[in-house]
Amino acid sequence: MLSFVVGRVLATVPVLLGVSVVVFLTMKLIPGDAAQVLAGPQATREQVELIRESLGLNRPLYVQYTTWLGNAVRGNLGRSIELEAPVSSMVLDRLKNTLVLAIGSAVFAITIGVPIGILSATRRASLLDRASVVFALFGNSMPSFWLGLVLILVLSLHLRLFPSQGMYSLRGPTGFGDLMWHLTLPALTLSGVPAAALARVTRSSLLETLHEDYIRTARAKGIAETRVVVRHALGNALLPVVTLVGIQAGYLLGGSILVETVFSWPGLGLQLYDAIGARDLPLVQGGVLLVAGLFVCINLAVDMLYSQLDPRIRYTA
Amino acid sequence: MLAACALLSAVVSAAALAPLIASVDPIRVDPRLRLAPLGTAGHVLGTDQLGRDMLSRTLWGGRVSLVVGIVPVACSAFVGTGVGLIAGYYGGALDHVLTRTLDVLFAFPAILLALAIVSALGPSIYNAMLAITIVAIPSFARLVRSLVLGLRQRAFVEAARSLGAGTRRILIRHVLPNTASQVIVYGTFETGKTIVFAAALSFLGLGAQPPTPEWGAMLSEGRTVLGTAWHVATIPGLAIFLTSLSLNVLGDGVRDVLDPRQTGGASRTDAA
Repeated sequence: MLSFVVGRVLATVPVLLGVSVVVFLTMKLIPGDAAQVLAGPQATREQVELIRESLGLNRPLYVQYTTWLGNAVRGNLGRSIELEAPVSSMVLDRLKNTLVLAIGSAVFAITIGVPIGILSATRRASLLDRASVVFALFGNSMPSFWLGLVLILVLSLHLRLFPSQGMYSLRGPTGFGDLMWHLTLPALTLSGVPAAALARVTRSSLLETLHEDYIRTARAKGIAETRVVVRHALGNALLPVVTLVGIQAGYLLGGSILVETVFSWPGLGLQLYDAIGARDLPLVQGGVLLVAGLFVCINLAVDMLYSQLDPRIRYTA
Repeated sequence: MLAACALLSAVVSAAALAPLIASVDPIRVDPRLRLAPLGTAGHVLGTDQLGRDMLSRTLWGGRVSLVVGIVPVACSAFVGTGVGLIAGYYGGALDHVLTRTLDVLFAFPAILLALAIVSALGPSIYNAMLAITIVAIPSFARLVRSLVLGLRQRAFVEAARSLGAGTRRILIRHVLPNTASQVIVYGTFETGKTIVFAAALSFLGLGAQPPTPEWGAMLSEGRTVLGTAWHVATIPGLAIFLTSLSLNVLGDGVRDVLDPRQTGGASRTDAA
């Protein structure tokens, strides 16, 4: 077991290194003189040279990369050009809010998607099944940023049930209840695509499992259908769902930039959006590196969890 | 399926015939007619905050959105298929290097990678298309590689090789045609997702730039007047949704016809 864990962890090291190379190289895509572009058109010659010196742009590429990576490993992601603050503390500060949104969305996606998939599979070809297929199709086709605007329009501006902006009320109590109240619409918006995917995968996986021999045996023994589904089929049927949750984690982290922009949710996504507008590339670079690194780690955790849940693949790296 | 074909044909025809159907210039500003509601005389779909005709902008925007959705898919299918063919057929160290490179690109949430590329290159519709192409290549490459791994062991490839066919001929004449159906199926789904993805980039200000009408950019502009003129954001959003929906249904239909065993997979451009 230990060798499996060590093997999987070691296998992610080259991926993380590759991620760092890609993030580093995106900075090199800047056309023309990067220092001039980063300093802006109004910058003086001294300011341009200062940026060139501080980012090490006058040194060979591999020296720039190893220095940047060394600093990043030690938690130093450079300084924001616009706000002149350390990028690492800025992105970590906002990451907490993004994680709140991502976790809220995951809860919504699982509580909506999995039950729909189960009901759909156990009542195959019924009206409910057809409705769930349409739900999955709609969820998969709907742009999250549009869904967010529609929810704001209906539930916030017209019905005044939820706030349309921010994470806490500017006036009044700002406790857990207030956070949940603000979280509902953005989390619901972000959960649309994963909920649809979970419904689809749960349905097809459960349908497949319900045709297995051991399920027929359970039914032949006279076990009630509900118990057959819950105790016998669901455990195995949900294995692919666990993998999907890992894949969707990337969606939740990436998609948060759109949803945070729509709802002015003060997370990493909104920070990246603002940084792009200000052409604050060290901040963009730091944010992207952090999210990509986090995504790799989440997938590693899901792999480990999967090996625990499915004994057939345990200890095989 | 028929409804999806009809809907998609309607969207494509409307976009293609925009110069004929749209009687008003999509970028003509009319301050007297700001935020005119639906059904206003001469402006069936109303106007936006600058008094520009929403019908014209939606039709012209469709041209941009469809091109930005389709061209990157075609480019990434071409490059991805090439990479997948080479990696799958040759195997060994070359396959190892290509696969690891794809793994690294897969480690990024797609929208973040696109965002990093466009923010460095500078916001423009062409840079957005380039970024979408780069982001979509790994999925095609991985799909084709997995197909080629199975195909290269098959008897007809062995037969071609024993008859003295060169590697290029085997790949192009024998292996490639056998991957085509799955690439077409995947490409159909991917086009729907890419249209949403491209709109997302424009929504963030990284794709089409004002005053170019594009569905994502229009939606972003409409966001600021959502409370007073809901139609400005809702109409382009509905256009994106219906186009993506019809392509997804069409993808299901194409899959059933070309490759009934395939069940479809997660896409790189799901992120929007």
